[in-house]
Amino acid sequence: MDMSKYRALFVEESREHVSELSRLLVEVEASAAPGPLIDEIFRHAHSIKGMAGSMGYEPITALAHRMEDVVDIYRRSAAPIAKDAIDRLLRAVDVLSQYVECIAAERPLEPNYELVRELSALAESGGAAAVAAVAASPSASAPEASGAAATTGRPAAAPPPGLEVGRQALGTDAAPMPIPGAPARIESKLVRVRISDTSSAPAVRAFLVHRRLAELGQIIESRPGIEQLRSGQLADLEVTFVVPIALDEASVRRVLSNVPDVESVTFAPLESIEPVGRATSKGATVEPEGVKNVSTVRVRTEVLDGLINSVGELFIARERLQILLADIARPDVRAALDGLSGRIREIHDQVMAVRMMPMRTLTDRYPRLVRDLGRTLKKDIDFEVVGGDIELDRAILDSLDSVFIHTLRNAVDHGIEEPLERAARQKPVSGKITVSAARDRDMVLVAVEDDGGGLDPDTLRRAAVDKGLMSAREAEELSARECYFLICNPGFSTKKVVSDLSGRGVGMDAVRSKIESLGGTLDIESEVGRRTRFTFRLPLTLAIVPVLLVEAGRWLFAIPVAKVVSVREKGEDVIPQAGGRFYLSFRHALVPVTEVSAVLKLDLQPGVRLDQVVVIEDGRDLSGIAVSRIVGYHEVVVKPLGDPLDRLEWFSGAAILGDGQPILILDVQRALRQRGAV
Amino acid sequence: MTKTRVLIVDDAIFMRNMIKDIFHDDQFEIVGEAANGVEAVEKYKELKPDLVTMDIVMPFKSGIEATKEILALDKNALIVMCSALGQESLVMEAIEAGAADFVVKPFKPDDVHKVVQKVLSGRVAPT
Repeated sequence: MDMSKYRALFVEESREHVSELSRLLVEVEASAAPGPLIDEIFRHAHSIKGMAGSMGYEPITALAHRMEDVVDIYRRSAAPIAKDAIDRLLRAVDVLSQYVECIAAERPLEPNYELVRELSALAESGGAAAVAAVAASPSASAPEASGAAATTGRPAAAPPPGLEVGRQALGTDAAPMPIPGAPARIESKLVRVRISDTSSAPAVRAFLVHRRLAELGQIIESRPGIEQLRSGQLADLEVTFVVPIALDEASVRRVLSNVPDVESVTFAPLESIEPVGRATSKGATVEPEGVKNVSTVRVRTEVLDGLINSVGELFIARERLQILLADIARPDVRAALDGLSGRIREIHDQVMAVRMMPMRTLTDRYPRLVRDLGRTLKKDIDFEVVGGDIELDRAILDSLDSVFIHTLRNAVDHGIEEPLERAARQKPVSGKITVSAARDRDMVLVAVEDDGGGLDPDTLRRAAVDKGLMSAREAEELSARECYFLICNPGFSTKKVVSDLSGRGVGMDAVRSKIESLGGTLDIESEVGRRTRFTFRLPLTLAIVPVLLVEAGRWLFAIPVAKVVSVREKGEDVIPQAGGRFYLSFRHALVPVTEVSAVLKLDLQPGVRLDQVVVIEDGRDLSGIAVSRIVGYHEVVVKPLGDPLDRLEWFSGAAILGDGQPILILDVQRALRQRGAV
Repeated sequence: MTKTRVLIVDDAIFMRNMIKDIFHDDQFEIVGEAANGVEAVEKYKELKPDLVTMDIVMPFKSGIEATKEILALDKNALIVMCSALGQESLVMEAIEAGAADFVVKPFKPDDVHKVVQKVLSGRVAPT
């Protein structure tokens, strides 16, 4: 039986199950009616177990089986799942996720005896009581405690079901199972080493511990494995080694006492592992997935990208036809061309619909992220997503992930105050962070808001002066909003301790650039001591964009229509300023306008008058750019600029017009922002 | 009590000065400095220090190369790598090559002292 073609499907479906498990476990923790959620969690674990069983992925089956057992307890007892049980289940989900990625990369799976054991203990002692016992064992006098937990009526000789390790004879393509160390029965024990949380590189420290131990005696197994440590992975600062029982504890303690940042070394017994040569019977059969109500198809993203490209080229071809046929006065040809245009538009809309994905696909992962961040920083966070069904182009979503993660980290780390401070401010103990999305014409407004300490303009002003970014007088003149945007300055961080999580303040600058490179804008609002809100305005789609073609002498540019508020003739009643700038009266306000030649440093022929003003919105402010002629409205296919053109900060992309002429698309906000520096 | 003889290797002068200040102590004697991997190996041969602090990214020869060479000359050499954040995989490479331990910049004097004490006591105790 050829399993390899099923592997891709296994990986894809398991990834979804794993992601749902993660989300559901966080949701069920906070839920008042956990019942249906617990059922769902059970089903996901059950599905993974089934698929892994039929593929012969024994470690996955074993782990999923134990998770099922644990969840089953809560399913039957209708009790809410304790926080520590959730922690363990989440850790199991992480391990499952790693296993799935190993399968995808065709790497062997390492059985995780300790976790399986912990979950077994949880399940066997029926829930809450077991959690307390197992939680107490690692740091206390380990040998006695885990000894007690281990001898709960299990015969010593036979390993518990699910812990059997062996080669599944399922055909030549079965994933190979590693058989630990020595050929026959190995008497082993566990050594748990805890790394101090003040270590600046815990994974490296663990790696060094691994090496020192290996110099002393054989390491049969380690969790995390050496490869994971090498790639920097060390969850909860602990490494567990499986070593021969004969390894002298005193020597281990002595060697590790000379390694800095080792907080504790504990020993625990482990029952002997018997590698089994025979094919073990599959405990689980493949069970059919619940019948889906909607029939769906999976499409690889490269295919979608190819489709969108082709539609784009179709568009350009149509534009060319349009121009070539402009002189032909045959109504039937024109009608046919219009029909063609209509069909192309339809295909475009449908492909776009396929490319559109609800924001939920990103935000579903965030409750877990925020929970983990909150636990690490010992802050209680109440996290909510509103408008997760709003759809965005998948390319924009891909880019948004890092934006969200950074903004959320900032909110948890810098925004939400410590519980004591919140209490002093008479705020609820849980900090509230909300991600919301809403449509606004052809833009989407996404906001991240926290009810934390807010941004203090004065603190920001002082920091700006201290960092030499501006003089005290210039700082004084900044409006509150301009102060908020100071945090987007590279290297700007007012936090005294540069935290691991949010880095050195480089983040907000990257966030702003990323948003703007997507054709969007960033806005920041805040009230000191009360709240902070980051708003991203994003276009719905990247690919085909309506633009205004404008001329400045012989130069032709495009300005995205989404940004354009209005077009005005310059007229007499303007207030001139220096450097090609003037103020235009527009809707009872004075809008600052800059001539395009000043912005882009163009040399224009004498006699060219820049008296057409395109008024654009820059967040909530209006500004204008003066050009010589408005050519017209076009829909263009935006092509990203490659190196080295993408270093031109004022252009967000390029397009090819119907007559074959390439034009640059002006990133008006960025161009106008330069005006201060010009 | 004999002082521990230290060789400081880093391509940045201010870094070397900072490390010198950290070792400005009755317990230590700074016997030499090197600004790159080539000088590091030469000075090691010349001075035979008790301890080396080794920067990783340096011109002409990296700290890792220098570490390997020094350990080939003297398998008991005690080398503590000084890395910047984000160079974790390089540190691990150095550890595999035989470096005794590491500190991560920016480091506090206490961190360095702690590492150095442990490294030195590890060597004194019988294996």
